[in-house]
Amino acid sequence: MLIQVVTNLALFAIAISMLICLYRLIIGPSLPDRVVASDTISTNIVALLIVLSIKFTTQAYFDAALVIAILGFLTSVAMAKFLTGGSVFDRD
Amino acid sequence: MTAISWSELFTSFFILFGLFFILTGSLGLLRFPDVYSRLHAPTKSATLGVIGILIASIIHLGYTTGSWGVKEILITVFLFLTAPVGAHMMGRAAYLTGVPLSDKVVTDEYANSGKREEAGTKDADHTLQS
Repeated sequence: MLIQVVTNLALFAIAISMLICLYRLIIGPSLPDRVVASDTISTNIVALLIVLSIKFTTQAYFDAALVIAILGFLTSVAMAKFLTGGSVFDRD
Repeated sequence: MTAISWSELFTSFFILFGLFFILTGSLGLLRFPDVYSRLHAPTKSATLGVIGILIASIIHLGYTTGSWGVKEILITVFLFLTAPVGAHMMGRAAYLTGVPLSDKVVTDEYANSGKREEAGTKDADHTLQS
């Protein structure tokens, strides 16, 4: 089947992409580099879950994909707030 | 039995489309010289790649199971809304905490505003440069 071949290729390529992001996350010279790399890893996990849902023809992975997308965004925003002000939540 | 249906063909095309952009984003994250250009690469192209894979998922699951793909559209809208916001906040944080620009940068219009050194010296104990 064409779908199985293409989804296996996609899983392999997304794994390669996540390894590249992991390399940047390890060597990254500053802290924003590492945050961007982890954000890209979470985006790649979303793509990986959707490719799995295409491969198995089920809808069970979309909730996990949505949760991981929200978690990646919240991680990035919280790290940005921590870097600029030092406090994640604004206290009066 | 060599019949490949049109839905399989479109699904494979959109998966390969998204795959190209995801690999391009990771390659940009690996190869660009600067924090800001490295931030530009994955937040545009990896998001576009995820959108392509989501379109493939809408086509495939809509053809095989007959669902209308509400959750796919929800993930698409959420990624389109949040990826620029996160990238902007991360770039702003990187600039304000004094991460150096590349040598190839021609102009820095925000350099004379004085905000950069202030925020960079305020929390210098974060040890940003390793």
